[in-house]
Amino acid sequence: MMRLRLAALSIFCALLAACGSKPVQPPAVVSQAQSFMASGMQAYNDNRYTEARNFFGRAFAEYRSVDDLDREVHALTDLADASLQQGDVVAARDDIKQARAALAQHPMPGLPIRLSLLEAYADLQSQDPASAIAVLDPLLADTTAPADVHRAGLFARTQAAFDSKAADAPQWLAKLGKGDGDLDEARLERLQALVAVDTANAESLYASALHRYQLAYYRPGIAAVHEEWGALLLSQQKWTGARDHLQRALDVRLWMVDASHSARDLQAMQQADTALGDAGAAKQDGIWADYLKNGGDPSKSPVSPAATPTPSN
Amino acid sequence: MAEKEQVHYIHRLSYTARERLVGVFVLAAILLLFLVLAFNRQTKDLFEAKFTLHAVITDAQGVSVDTPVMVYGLQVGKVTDLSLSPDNRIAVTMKILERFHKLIRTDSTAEISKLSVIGNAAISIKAGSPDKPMIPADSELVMSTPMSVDQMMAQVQPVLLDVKSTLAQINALTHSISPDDLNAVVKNLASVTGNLKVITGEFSSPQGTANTQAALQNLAGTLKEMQARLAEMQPLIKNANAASADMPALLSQTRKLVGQLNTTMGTVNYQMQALPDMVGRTRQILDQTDTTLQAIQNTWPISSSVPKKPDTTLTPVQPPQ
Repeated sequence: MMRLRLAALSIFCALLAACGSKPVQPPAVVSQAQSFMASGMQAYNDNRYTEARNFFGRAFAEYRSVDDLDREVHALTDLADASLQQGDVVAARDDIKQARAALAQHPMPGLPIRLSLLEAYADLQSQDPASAIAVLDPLLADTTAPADVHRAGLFARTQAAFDSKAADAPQWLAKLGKGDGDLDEARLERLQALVAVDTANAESLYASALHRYQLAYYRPGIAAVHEEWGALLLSQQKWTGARDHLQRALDVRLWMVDASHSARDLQAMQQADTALGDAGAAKQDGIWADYLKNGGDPSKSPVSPAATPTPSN
Repeated sequence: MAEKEQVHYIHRLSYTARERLVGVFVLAAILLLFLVLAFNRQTKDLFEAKFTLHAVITDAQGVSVDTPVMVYGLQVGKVTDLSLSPDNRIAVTMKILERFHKLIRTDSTAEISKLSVIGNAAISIKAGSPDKPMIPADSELVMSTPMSVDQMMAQVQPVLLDVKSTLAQINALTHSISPDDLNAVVKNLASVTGNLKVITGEFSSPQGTANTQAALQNLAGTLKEMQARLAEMQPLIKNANAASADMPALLSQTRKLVGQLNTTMGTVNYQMQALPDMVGRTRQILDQTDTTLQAIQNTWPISSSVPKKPDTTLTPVQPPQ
């Protein structure tokens, strides 16, 4: 009986070993860079953009050390994307510039159009919709653009139309048609809220978009909905509601270490606090907004008083 | 004829010849096994004569079965057993190669290597005096254990306390000279030098000669004042003298403390030298572990439950924020 069991165990072990495959051992530089890229991608997908930028930067350094231009451009594109997600337009433009320079030496299909999309996002974040439109119109006319880039470009073009208060904004919105997936649908609802017939309708669209983003745990979307919702309520002089949404947006933005959006949220909160008669809070909002605009560290946020620096400096 | 040629040669051999052939193969295999055992690094000592020694320690400090036993830096044996002695200490049993027996005498002592604090455990036996008899097999060696990191820190602690107390004494010494007194004296001296300046001015002026008498009178007054100030300074100087009497003792104490610190730092430095090597080896082990884990992750059924890391190199395209 014992022999039978031992034989069965041996056969099982042999079969198990046969199911394994010999690990492929790439050169150290490749496995290191791949590991950085994979870690960066994981961090990016979890909206941990500071970490993602760190890993993409390290991967870029590895690729550059072996003159791998293809992957260098990929890493730079990822760096630019992660920087934009944190509202760091300056860093993003620098990465895009470097990627373009590399592409000039070593052309790669599909990458220039992706970089153009990121440039348009940078223009939108810099509140320069005219420049964004100048980049997006040729992108949308390019029939070789991949479907996902084209769709994202269409969203950006519609946003640019709304930002520049163009008369054709509703037509651009109509071109977007129906949403494809939760994130796409949520982005569409946010744009639809801008042309909603009344505040209740707009609020309902924002609530739906927020719910979709929350289900996907997509932090930039959650923060953006609160910001747009807060802006709507500010325009309606509903100060308490506006302040609540802006505070929630700020909490998310600070977590993402996004200084530029956090500063804008604080400025809007200052307006609400002033209207609510809370001069002390309004003053604090102003101090913090200035601190962040002057290159202050968002991680030393007012959310954690223990980390409070002296923003008056 | 052709059929006959195709028959295997074994069938053409006699039974005795076949038996001999099998015997040769069996003997060759045994010989090969023996050679492997005899010349393999791991088993070369397998057939060597050994003798046993015992020791008792209170802190194993990383010593385990197979921990090497060294004499003069040579490995002469290894630990074969660790057990608890009746008095709740750790009984260590070592097997030592007989050819090194003559190095270990009745006055030999053993100690756990200092490197055991950072993981390189080894037992080091001090060779005894040649005039003493060889230690009998199965006898007990006296073994000492090196200081643990905690013990080292405990030793440093009083030194630091001494330094603190010395600094406090120096502080008290400097405080024994009252800054107010000193200030007053300096002010007085300043006024005295002011007076001297006036007097010397008067000396150098054309009316100097005429005023010499008056100046001398002034000088006498000034000297008197100076005398009074010096009398004021007297107790201060006495205080400073009393305080400085402690200085030699303090200096000697400080020198002693620095000496102790040097010794302690020397020990710590010695331990630290082994660190880079340890880190290098740890890195190698981690690399090997990584490879093994990868192999395990690629093995069914584990491979089906371990999510693959993303292998894309471009972030997903998303609409603007």
